[in-house]
Amino acid sequence: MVESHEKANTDADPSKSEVQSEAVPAVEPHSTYSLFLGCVIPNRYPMIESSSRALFERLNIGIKEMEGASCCPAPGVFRSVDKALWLSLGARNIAIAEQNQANIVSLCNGCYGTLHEVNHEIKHDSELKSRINTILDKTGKEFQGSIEVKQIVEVLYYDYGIDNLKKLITNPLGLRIAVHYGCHLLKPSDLKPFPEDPDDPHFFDELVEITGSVSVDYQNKLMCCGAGGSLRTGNKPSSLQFTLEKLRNMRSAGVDCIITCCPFCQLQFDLGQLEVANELEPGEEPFKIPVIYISQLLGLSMGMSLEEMSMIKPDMKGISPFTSFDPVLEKLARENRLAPTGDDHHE
Amino acid sequence: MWVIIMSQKSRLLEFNTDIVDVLSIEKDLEKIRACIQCGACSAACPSGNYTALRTRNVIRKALFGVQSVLEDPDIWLCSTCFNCYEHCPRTIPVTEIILSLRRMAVSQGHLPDPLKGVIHNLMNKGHAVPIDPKWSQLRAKLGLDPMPPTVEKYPEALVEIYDIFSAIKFNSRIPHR
Repeated sequence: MVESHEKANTDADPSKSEVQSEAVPAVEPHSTYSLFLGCVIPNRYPMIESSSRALFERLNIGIKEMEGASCCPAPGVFRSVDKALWLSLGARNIAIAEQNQANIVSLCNGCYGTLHEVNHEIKHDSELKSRINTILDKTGKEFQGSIEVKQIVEVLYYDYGIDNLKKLITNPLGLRIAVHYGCHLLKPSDLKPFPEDPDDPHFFDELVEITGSVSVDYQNKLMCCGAGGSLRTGNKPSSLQFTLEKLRNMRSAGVDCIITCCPFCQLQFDLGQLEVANELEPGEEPFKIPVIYISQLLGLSMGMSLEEMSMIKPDMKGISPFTSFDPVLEKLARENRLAPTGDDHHE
Repeated sequence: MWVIIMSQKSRLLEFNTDIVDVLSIEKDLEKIRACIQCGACSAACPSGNYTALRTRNVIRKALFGVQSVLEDPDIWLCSTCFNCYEHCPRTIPVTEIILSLRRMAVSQGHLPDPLKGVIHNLMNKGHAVPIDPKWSQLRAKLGLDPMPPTVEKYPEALVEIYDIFSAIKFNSRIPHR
């Protein structure tokens, strides 16, 4: 699926030329993916969906909708409850992408974990495959084993190519960033098709650093956020202990924001900063570290607007992000890092 | 002493072989026979820093065939980060084994209550975390279709989800109510 982007900076697609400003380098059409949304992204963190759709459009990455897709199903809860349920609903989702004839891109580590492992398990066990297809029979869908399941960091770094992305950076952001990989992007590592050491990975850091930012090392950087494995659902106090330790370590390292590639990690750090308030030591400052999704960071560094990156919070109560973006947005504005908006959406 | 006990067939493993459907065989469970109780899994386990979970003990109990491990709340404290598997010198899929034990526990009636709501969301809506009017409004404000192109927008797809629940006899196999 990986194509050459040697000519990525030459002719613009005529259909796109109207909407691209002169300053923005043109991009050739790239591969098309089936976009798997899952639950938390469309239903709790729609800014991840809107900013990623805008980024894919900017990169000329094609998207096919996975109409009628369900929960992946979640690797923590449902895999712990029933393997037949986990495999067969996962296989149905994969079958939707097979009908699209396009590999899946997941914006979530959990959905990626489920779909990648379900795909691997059924592809490599013909008896299991025929059993699953018997279950799917009445739905009119069939698992063929014809596609791959990928995660957005993998697609951007390996498929699109870090060098091609670098050419598109127009607004270096100068941020100090705590990268949170999340677990299922990297592990179990023997099933992953890319060469990343789960104890010393590099691709997500590099993706963050091409935006002119620094990926700051911090203690227990690769530790779990605490949300997975049904721990948040079943035992929130324990799950928040992970989060609190990571937040403290990030703060000690002096970061401007946290960058994630998973909505569940995002939720755990974003809403989690409010939820750990009662766990703080006497006199310990409440946490106010903005939690930003990788698409939003990349988009800003490519000169896309705060509105296109869904970073202007609508005036509604009880919505994400729960921890304000303001400290980061103020710093970027102060240092004149953002693209001039030239429209009437901001004063 | 351990070696002698470990060489005997675990009752948990016997329990496992009674099930014939390919979907229900917990094939990873057999791999615990390779465990040398070194504790690398526990050392690598973040949950073990904050909770009573000791993965080495869980494996040992399973190895000895102690059925009580299925009632042990500790097996539900794993965040499935896979550190244990990555660091096991015998490449035992410890995380998968904890998930296997959870599934066996559920089939014995030990489904933790907080998970039931999420299961019912999936059964009713096709999503663990369904949409509601507030979040739909937020989608619209961000320039998205108020209903995502998932089961939420295509309710006919929900019938397929029901068909799958029915085909795997979920209600009769899993005591989720």
